[in-house]
Amino acid sequence: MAARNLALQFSRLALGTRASCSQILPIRSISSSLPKFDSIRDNHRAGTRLTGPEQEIFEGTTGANQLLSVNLKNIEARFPTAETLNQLFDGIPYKDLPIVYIKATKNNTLINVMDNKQHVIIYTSCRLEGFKHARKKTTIAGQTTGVAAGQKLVRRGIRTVRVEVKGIGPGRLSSVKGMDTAGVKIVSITDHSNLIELGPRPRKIRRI
Amino acid sequence: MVRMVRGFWRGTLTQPFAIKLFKGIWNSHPRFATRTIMVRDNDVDAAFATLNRLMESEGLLKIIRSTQFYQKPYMQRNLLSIEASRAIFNEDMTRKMKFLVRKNRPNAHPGQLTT
Repeated sequence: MAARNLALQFSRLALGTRASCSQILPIRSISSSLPKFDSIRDNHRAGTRLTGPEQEIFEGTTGANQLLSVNLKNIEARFPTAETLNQLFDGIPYKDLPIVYIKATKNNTLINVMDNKQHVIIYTSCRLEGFKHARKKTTIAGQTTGVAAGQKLVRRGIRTVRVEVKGIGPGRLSSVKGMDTAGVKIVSITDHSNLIELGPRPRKIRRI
Repeated sequence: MVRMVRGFWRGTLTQPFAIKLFKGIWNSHPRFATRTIMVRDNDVDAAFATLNRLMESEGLLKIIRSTQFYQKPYMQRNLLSIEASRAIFNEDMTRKMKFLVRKNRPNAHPGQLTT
């Protein structure tokens, strides 16, 4: 459907002495990321229904689309190097900092904090913080979980951590922000989400 | 474009789409060396936005997005043709914009302070 729309636009470009930019552009903006449909039926309806501004596709991926300006100047200086491992953060070398593992799935957010020897320090999840069923998969639940984890950490005297996020879910960004508001200093953010390249065939599209 | 693609290719691509190097290549990288960004001045938002932007531009989010659900062959073909037509459009549009904003004088933008 989208391809047909594009083809229409091209034909207008080719034919139209009348066709101006103002006529062409508002019909369908050309964006870098494809819209994600919940159901296969949405995919069929895609061309017939005009959507508003480009929606955020996954809730944790702020800044991925081109609408938000991101400063990428001197980006190389913000990547870790070999020296970073021994760099001191609040008197602790980077390699000895506790690691916060956040698993942000579609339906839940799980936070597991381990020290550098992989011993569990704390564990929380949306369910443990009192969110049940569909409420687990909200950004607010993720934020609450993050805040709770941060408070637990502060109680144990841990104030500097590095974060490893896995998965694209509603709690991806909000739990890290919650942890920040609870008073835990976050040194670095790592993405470790599963990128399957040889994996099994994905599940079929939901029909709602 | 759809017809063009259909004209010579009616097969399917194996999914998930990615460059097949070897299994678990992402785990073989040292941890906290790749896909990591250091947070500056406790600005978590900015760091996350940067990380997401880099993941998008490197095509990692695209891998995640395209492996959520299996795409039927007609969807594969449509996606392919959309990508192709988008590339053609972008190429032409950048050329057009360059042509429209060209300046043939020693100082391209006189009186302009910023670049």
